[in-house]
Amino acid sequence: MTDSTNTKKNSHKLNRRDFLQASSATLVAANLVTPATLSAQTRNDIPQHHLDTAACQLDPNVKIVHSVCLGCNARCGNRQIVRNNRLEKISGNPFHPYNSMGTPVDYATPVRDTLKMSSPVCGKAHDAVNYVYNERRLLRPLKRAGARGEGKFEPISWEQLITEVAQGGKLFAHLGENRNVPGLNACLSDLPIDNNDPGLGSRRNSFVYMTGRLQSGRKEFIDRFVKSAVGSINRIGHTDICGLGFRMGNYTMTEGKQVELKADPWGAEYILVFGANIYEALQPGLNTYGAAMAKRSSEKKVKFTIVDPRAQNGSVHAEEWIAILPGQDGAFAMGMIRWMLENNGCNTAFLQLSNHQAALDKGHSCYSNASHLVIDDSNHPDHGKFLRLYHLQQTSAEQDTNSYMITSAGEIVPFTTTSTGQLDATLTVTDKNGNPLTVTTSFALMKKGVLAHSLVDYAEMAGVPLEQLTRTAREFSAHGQKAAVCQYHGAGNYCNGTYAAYAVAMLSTLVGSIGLKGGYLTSGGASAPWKKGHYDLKKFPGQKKPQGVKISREGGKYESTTEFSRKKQGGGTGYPAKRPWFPFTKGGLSVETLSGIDAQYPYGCQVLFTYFYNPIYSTPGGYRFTETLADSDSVPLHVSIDVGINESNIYADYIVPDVTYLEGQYGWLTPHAPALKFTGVRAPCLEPLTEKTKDNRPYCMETFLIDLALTLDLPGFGKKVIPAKDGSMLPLFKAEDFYLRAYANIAANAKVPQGDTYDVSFVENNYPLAAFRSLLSAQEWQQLCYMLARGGVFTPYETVFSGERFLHGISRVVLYNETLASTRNSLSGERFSGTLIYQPPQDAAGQTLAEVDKEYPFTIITYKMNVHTQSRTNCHKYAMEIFPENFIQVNSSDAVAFGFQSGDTVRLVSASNSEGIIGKVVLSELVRPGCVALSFHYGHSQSGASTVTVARAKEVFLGGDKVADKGFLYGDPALGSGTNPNMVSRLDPHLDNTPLIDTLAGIPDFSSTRVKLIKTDQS
Amino acid sequence: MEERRSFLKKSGLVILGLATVGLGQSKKNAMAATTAKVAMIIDLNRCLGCQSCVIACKQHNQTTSGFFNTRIELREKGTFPTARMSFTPKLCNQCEQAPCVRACSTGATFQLANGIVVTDWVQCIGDGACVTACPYNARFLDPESENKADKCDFCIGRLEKGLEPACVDACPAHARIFGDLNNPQGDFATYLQQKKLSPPDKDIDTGTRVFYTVSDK
Repeated sequence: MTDSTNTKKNSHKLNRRDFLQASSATLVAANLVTPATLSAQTRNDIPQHHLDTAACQLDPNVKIVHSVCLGCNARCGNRQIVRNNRLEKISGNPFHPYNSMGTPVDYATPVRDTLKMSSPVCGKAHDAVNYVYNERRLLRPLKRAGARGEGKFEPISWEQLITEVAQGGKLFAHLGENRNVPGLNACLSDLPIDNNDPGLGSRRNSFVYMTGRLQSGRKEFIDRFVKSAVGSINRIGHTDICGLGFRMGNYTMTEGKQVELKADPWGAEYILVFGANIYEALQPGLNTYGAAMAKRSSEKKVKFTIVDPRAQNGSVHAEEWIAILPGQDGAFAMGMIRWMLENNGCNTAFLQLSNHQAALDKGHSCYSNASHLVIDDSNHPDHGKFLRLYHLQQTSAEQDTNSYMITSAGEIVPFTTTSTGQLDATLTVTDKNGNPLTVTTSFALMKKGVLAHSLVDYAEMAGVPLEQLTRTAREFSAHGQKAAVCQYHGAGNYCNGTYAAYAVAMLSTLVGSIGLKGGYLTSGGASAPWKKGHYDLKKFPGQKKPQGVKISREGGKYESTTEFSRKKQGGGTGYPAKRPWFPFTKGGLSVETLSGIDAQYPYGCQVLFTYFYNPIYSTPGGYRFTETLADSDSVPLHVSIDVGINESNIYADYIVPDVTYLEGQYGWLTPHAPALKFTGVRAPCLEPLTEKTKDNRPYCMETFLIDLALTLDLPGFGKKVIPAKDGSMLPLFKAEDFYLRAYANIAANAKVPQGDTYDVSFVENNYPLAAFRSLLSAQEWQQLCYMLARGGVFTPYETVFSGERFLHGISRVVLYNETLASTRNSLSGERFSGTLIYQPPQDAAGQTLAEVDKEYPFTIITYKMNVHTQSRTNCHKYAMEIFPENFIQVNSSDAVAFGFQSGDTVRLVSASNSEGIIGKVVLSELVRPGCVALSFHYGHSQSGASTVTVARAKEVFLGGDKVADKGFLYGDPALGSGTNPNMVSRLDPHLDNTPLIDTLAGIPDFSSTRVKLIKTDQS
Repeated sequence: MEERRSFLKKSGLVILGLATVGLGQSKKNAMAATTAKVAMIIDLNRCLGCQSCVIACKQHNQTTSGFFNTRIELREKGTFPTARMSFTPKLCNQCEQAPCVRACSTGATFQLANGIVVTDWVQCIGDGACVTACPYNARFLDPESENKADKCDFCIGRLEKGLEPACVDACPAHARIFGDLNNPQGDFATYLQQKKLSPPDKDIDTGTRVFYTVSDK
């Protein structure tokens, strides 16, 4: 019996099933189980199988590592428990505030005393055991052995990988591809990438490095390679699909200083949740933010209302669910603001404060520019700019752009000369030349934008009853400085989302809770810097400085291009640009990077690296880019760095195996908004499972970039490239050369104590990275051990405040953003509004999408589930066991009208995907009629779901002959269950049918795809 | 909803008030713990339905794929537009008058002195009588272990080491509160004193050791 159980598919399973062997060994209860009174059925022996379980931290012969999770990007701490070189159990780290609803144990607590403490972390974190031991993990480099996307690969040696990617050549001649493939060396030229427009930068920019899940640590390492060694400007992240919309609202309100602000869940009395999935996703994660909300709401200390087309899991404890129409967060917020303006709901005492000192004096941490005067005269050259002292008098400080003016007690005075200014004013002043000049306060301009629609209109556009809107506005303003919004991905992640999210953000400013305990807060930031200290990890000899414009056009100014001047000289306005430009954006525009690569605009890409990134799966409309990645003109060389084969790198020319966060992925992980201040530090618990180079370095991202740099003689890598404090120059040949020195800098800069004997032995006995301790001085190591044993540097919540005032926030917010007001739409040439306006989601041609697609009756809304992260968790066996598939959630009234029943198979068809996608219907009361809700994470076509042809596959993948043989890696259909909503998303026919994006900030659209549901027998 | 007093009466417990040790104390003291009656309280006003408990349980107990010692019952409450989600974690209730113990013909299933109901797989014949008898659907026959009966045991191996059950350890909002009815401490004591607690099913009286604070929403 035991033999057969041992050879079952779960042969890694612990020996619990071997109970018969151990059958005579029943343990006498030692602790709580000692009998008090023995009844007839009361015995004192615990049967053995109850004791054959996974390891815990108190077991003998286990190794314990305190680290930072990467089940998602929330950055919670974890405790990794390893027995017999195998990761068996995960729990939380008691030192980390994210594992303790913000109240961790004191940082000085001896580590040994924390081992018995409970410390939670979410299910995704526990599923790490299934992530690291995913049988389809890649161990060796692969090279394409068929057409792009055909799914044929062969393993190659590390040396061949490095040579071919570095030097290029006729790399696929054996497949009948006669083209000369550029290697990375083709990008090492300072000649202009476009002879007609040197402003676009050098040919170095033809190297594009796109990053999916990237965190601090690897981000800095990759930037060292891409920006400082190769000299390309194109290391581009994926902030856009992560959630650019809500970030743009905050970006606009803080003038680009901060993009993440959230209601303080530990201090607020009332939180209005816009598109933030507080109990299922979010950053901080559900075990921090969601749990704190649940705890405090159970104690009646906080109330919250959810504004979302779907009654997300947070509805369980919410005061109310407001089932808003998708894409209409702005209408709802604007309606609330209108009500607040007309019902004394704004904190005018706060808004009148005209400068930072005045705000500090009144106990605030930041002030607004509500009272600042704006030139409101379309004939004036500075129309739309702030009125400054130099507009009114000849002054030597002509360039003093900070000399904003306000009106106070009938006088026009600089904003710093008095503490308050008039809020609602339009007046005529006399400029320095004696001419009259109309000026209006920021507040009045905002008010004008808000009053453009009636309350009734706003309620109707938002699709909610007027009474619900006014009730929410009343409740929100009644809590004043203890009310704030928590907006995330859903708020504004659609075309024109900047204005929606700006209005949502403004709510917290108008009640004056911005920057206060219980209000709208940024993150408290890192505990200490990483790049300076014992070691300078930023500067090195021969460092390149990237120049020019990113291929995504983020931060680029269209009016500075040759294209613009050529079009203008041709007699036009210079507009439209071929594709939009984004001078006013937080950036991280992965969608426009791929669209730029597709269109070879504003220049072509020669070499594309994609890291831990699956855009085909994860981008709304990502299916459009299969053409792009298949096209060797748009993408001459594509190298993917990842843990396995997914929907995107199935198109790659090379796949480089990487390590997971249990074996590497060193990093220093700082808090998300709100409030907290810390630096978590990742420490692997396992030796890398990938194969190794001849000199014993694991195959992974760092080893790959280092070896490319050494082959191409790039600066910043190799001998003598890291300046130490003592003047010596140190080498960078392996990942630890970089990261351990950064860790030493953090520990020193944060002034953590020297570790005691226990700390040092805890690290040296448990942490694989202790093998590299000789990189540091004994003293540095001892200090580092204190930090590593605790998983980072942490401070309590209370220390980020002085009284009610947040100490690490921003000093100013704006009701009117001058930079935005000066920015022109690169397609229409029109200026954007500098303050709040209502705009529905529109395509690049300015057509309202809800109108264009009105024959499609349903709008798709999407969300993340509590047990998954976006695209890479179908290998999480526990998650898949609980939820084997996802469903198309349809409101029961729609189901009646359209004749659907739970379990029906339907085809979802959009204007952009007439073939559509298949899914299973489930009826629900938790989704707004007219919407269908669908989670991500399911509907994979790769990532293990399909069979891939790989020569010698069983030697190439972790599971060996369990999943592969000599020619194939076998797919498991269960890994492809369910439906991926991104496969049917709307494309924009006005922009070459690339995925729909917002023309102001480049926000991808997650909320405007409309579909038909057609019953089908297909499965 | 029931008062604490009434459920204690129902389950036939007497608070002895004797000094016994709580969880996590030294083994020496723990050895003296002869009167522990362990129990779990689940506060539905705190449960966010995150499944962390379910996954932590799977990970610790290595239950066979498709079988669970604890689950979260997901329900929709109400109709649009006032509908909301509802979560109820479920597990073996470690009944004082356990129907499974009575149904077991071989004596494989029995109750330990601390109240935890366990199964000796040497004696278990896998006939499923206990599974059928359980009114809470908390038991299953494990097909990977010759159909032996399995279920939640409050992670007794962890209790032995002075740790809390894996689900309690993993619960982010502390919605699962574990303790000793004979010597309640901390949050567990507060819940016993202050909160209205309900049994898993008002219509079944088996003297459960799992209680709920029902949702006020």
